[in-house]
Amino acid sequence: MYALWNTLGLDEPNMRWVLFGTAFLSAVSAWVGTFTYLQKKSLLGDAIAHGILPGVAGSFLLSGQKNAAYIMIGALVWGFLTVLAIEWITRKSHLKPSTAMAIVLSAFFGLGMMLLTQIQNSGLPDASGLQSFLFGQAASLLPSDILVYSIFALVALIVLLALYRSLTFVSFDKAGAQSMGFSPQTSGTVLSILVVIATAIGIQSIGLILMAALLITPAAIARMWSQRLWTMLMLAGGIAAVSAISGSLISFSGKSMPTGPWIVMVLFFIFGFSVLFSTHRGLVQRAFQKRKNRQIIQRENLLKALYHLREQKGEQAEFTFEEIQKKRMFSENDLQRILGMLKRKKWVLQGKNGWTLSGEGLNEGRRITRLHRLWELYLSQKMRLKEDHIHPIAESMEHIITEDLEAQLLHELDYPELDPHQKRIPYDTPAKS
Amino acid sequence: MSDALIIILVGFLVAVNSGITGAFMVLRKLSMIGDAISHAVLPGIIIAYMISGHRENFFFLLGAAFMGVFVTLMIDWFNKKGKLPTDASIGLSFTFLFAVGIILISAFTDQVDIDADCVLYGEISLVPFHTYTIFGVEIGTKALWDNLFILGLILAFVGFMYRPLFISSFNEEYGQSVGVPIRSIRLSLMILVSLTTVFAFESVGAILVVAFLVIPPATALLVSQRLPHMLAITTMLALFSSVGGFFLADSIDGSIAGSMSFVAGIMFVGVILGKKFYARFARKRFSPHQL
Repeated sequence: MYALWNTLGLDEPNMRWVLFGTAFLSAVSAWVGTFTYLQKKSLLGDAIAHGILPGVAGSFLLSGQKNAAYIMIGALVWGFLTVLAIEWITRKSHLKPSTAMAIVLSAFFGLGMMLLTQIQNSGLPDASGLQSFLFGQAASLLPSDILVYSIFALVALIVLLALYRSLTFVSFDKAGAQSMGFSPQTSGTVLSILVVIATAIGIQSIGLILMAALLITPAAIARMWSQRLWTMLMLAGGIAAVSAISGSLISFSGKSMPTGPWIVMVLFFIFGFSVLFSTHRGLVQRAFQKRKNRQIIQRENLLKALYHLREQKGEQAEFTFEEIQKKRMFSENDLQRILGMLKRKKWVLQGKNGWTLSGEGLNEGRRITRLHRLWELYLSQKMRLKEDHIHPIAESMEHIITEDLEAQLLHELDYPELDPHQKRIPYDTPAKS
Repeated sequence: MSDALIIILVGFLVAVNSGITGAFMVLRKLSMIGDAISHAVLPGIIIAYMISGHRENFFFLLGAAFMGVFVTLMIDWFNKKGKLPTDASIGLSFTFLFAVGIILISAFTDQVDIDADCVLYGEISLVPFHTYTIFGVEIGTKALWDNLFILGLILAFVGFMYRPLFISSFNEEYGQSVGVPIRSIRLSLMILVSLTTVFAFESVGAILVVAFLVIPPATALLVSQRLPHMLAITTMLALFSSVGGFFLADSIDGSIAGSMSFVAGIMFVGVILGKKFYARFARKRFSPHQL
């Protein structure tokens, strides 16, 4: 354990500062990012991050030194300018907010590039260090820099906690929040200010250009694993911190490797894992569920077909493959598979001349047929749909209707005898007379 | 041709190419997708270079076109299958691909003969030094020919596909109902944006391409009611920003590409203000009280 501690370079106090500092800063950015993610304003972070460049370069030009405090002030000022400019353009023209963002971010970034070349030509001693603001160079962080960034991060965190309720309300239900007296205008402005701070504190560790990833990706990952805001925030913060630490460590191992891209790589790796395996939105889990649903539907359709055949041919009859396929089109493979499954469940029996329903299978087949016919009746009686329109709708509804819904349907239709096509609606016990 | 003229011409061509393709992106409200594509193209050209070992345009174009389509599919996929909001899937996709590009550049600096600074920020002032030679005869600046080729491609596409492009840019549902192949039009547009980006890289860099994709068309959109007017005004603005940007950069000794996009931004603000002023002036002059 201690050896690992050493190989990671954690025995150096400077290194510890850098790693834990960037972890904290990244977590704060991810917390703010969670709210922008929920309000679908994720790209605002990208626009602000690019728009900050003139502020960073300008403060360097004016002060002549790479001082975190001056850089923060310049970054904050230009961050606010970016927000104001985007709002001004969307108000004064009919352009979409996303177009306004693209305009402001590229024009401001262009201005920043002009200033950067000025700095390079100026021959100031620290000039080369400015490159680290574009892609992040966590190794260049000094404890004093981290202290300055952390103070701003703390301010953002306090504002976030103080306004937690109203931010949450607006994120999930804008209209509701407005009706309860929370002003969406104010909360939008506060959120923009928070995004400016969240972006500015990350410039030296992850860099301007990839900053958006730290605001968006942890929130997107957390959303895949949780349904509650509080757990989502905890997860997003944790993921951001872990990726910041591992991204920094990877970048330290190679010479002149920028930090930002590696943090993004780690984040994206966790994201990819979540897309596949998350518990309620993961692709694997969804594919599983989809397969299961399809099997249930196929099973129910087959039971229904057997029940219909039984209605036509009498209770003792056994049905061959061809007869079943004539009733409802199943492919040879599907039919074989579903019948096998139902046989194992003992819902169908295989006789000498073919297949027949067992007691349980009969009940299930009757239930599906009943739901189908009840729904058809409901559609034609209560919704006044034409008779030739109702069958396809009932075909899908029969698999969805729950017991409660069935009871309600029966009550509303008053235990009917016949469906719109004049077929008997089958009940488990004889219908109420 | 003097170097200054070549630089201005290349800047103009880059701005026109980006402006015309960008006009359709702006009309389709896909400005940020344009930004995403211009970032995503970076790993494409580097991987193409690493596989082929050549710095030839053909491989770059292939890699870029592939990545341009790839990133749009990726955004769509995260949006539909991953259930992410559109803006989040855009931000997530392009930051990832751009990060891949940066890592490849910094990991293989020895093998890859691509200058990181050049790809990222562009160095339009060096453009006149790279020339094409055929059979030992110098036939002119490489960037000039490259961008002219892309301009020809764009004009051919817009010329042949004008009607469907026009209809589907304003109303995709209607376009679909009258039989416009909206999916292939969309994809071709994305490919065009990626191809434009590749050659814009050398001169203005990966990050500022979006300035030329979005600002001139958006400015033109403010003052035009018809697509041909919009395209014409975009071209004019491209000329102004390349000339203005060059002289601004020359006077303060700064980045030419940066100045060009800054000038484009200034013109945008000027048009908004001018429109307000004109509206007020016109109202005063023709107000009903004076009639």
